[in-house]
Amino acid sequence: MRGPAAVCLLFAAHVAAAQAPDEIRMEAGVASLRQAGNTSRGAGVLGVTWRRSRERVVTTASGSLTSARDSTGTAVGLLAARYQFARFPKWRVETGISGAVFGLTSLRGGGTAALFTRVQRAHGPGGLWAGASSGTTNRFGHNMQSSSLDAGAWGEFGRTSATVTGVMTRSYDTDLMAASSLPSRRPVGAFVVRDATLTLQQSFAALDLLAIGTVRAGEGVATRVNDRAMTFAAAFYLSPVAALTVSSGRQLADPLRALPDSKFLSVSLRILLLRRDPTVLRIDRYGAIAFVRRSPDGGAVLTLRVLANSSARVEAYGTFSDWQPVPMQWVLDAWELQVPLPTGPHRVAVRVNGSQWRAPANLTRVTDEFGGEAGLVVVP
Amino acid sequence: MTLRRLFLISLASGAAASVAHAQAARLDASADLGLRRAVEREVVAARAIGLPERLLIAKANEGIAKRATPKRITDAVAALGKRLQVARDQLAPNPSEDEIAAGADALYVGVPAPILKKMRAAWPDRSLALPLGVLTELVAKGLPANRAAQVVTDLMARGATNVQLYALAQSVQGDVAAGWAPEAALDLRARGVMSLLPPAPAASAFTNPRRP
Repeated sequence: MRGPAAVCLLFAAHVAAAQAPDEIRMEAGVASLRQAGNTSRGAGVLGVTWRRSRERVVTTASGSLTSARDSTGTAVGLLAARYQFARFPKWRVETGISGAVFGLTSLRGGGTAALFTRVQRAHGPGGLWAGASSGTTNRFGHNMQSSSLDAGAWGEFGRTSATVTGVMTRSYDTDLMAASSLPSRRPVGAFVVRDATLTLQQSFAALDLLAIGTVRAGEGVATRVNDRAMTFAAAFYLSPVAALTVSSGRQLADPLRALPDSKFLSVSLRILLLRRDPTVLRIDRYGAIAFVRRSPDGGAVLTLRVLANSSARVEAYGTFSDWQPVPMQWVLDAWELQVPLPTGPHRVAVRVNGSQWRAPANLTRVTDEFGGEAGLVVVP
Repeated sequence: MTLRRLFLISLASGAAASVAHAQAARLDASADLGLRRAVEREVVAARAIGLPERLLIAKANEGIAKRATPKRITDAVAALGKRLQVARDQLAPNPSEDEIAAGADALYVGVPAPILKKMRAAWPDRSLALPLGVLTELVAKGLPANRAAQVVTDLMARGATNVQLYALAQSVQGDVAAGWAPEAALDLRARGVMSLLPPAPAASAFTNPRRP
């Protein structure tokens, strides 16, 4: 594992230095893993994520190492880019490559590589997508092909977000599937598995909760097995640059990423090592601005824009919401919220990742009776 | 037995009334009983003299959302009640709820109460919500309240529109952000708006009957 690990980290460092990243995150922790048919093993987990956001292109690269006793280990890498069309801003194309080298107790060592592409269509606080993936897994000289088609929808409802995904995967990786609970014996030929997944996320002040449920229907040669799995995760934000994450559940076998069927429990610390956007450089103001446009019906629409990273959790509140936090939406390259307001003075504030509420930079700042601050907006 | 029953009925009806008021006002459900009662006292007092109770509840909810202590919230609600009363009196005879709220906001940032009366005199029939908001913004930006009020009131008296007053505040804000002194920015921008307004009527030789 040392060779691939070193290559992976060197690659990440090289990319980071060459591309002037906007963000580098590191996640380190411990996990308990139990692959189907094996006993639990303690493992160390280390991951690095690099991300660069420009007007219409977002690129990301990540690498992670999982190492357990009994030589169980995996090094995973991902390089992806997302492009947003200038003429059709609601449409995006996402494409990338992922690869892994592994030595799994329940399987033989080897490697995998996969290409994926996805077309997204945003619609308000949600959207739809459709995509396809194709990959190869190699174990001791044997190549096994896998491919998948996926489609889904996502939406945000206040502080709750939901994603529904349907995936159909066709794979010749019989080793992987035979090592999982689907099916119990090794057949000849391709497997076809159909997954339906529901992901729910709920955000609180400094806490995110995530639940993922998957129902799988699979068929091999003369074999049909239904299966299901649940995963739960929680992220507690200790500060704007640190979060403690806990996750537990079961991961169904994934042929494209060569992930075996396993149960896991992990605890890790996620740290933001570098961020060059205003979120960190100007943490006191987040690079937030507010502007007002008059509407034909006599009122006006206040637009709040915050230049924080797309993975941040950005909220606004004020007199318009009776001081209840309202999640902002990721639009193009910034977080945005539009609020219709009547004529007169109003107060608003924004915050990132549950930290202190701040007045947008271009508004007159007023302090309140409770020790906080807000920006004063006057609507004509 | 009858007395006890009457006592229980009165307790129950009192509690029901209290709950009904709280629901109508929509105080945040997480408020504890002590805070709820303290806020309700202020709300009842405000209602009795015709002040908009919604604003008091909103202030209490603001404090709850910002996790302030119950005492701080109660003090803030009581202080707002006083400001609303002053604003309502100064903006008489028939101020709207928006005007009273804007007036209380202006008082909060340090605008003297008599200025509200002068502004009402300048615009007796038009809403003062926006001019008060502009004045609040200028004062919060660091301009002396009397100077800012003088400029805004003069512009109102000369027939400036809401949009012109809004543009004035935006321009001053931009100038201050660019490094200008607030008073210099206000003078410059006020002259700019003034130049767009119709001239003040010339003084008539016959306006003072004591002079021949």
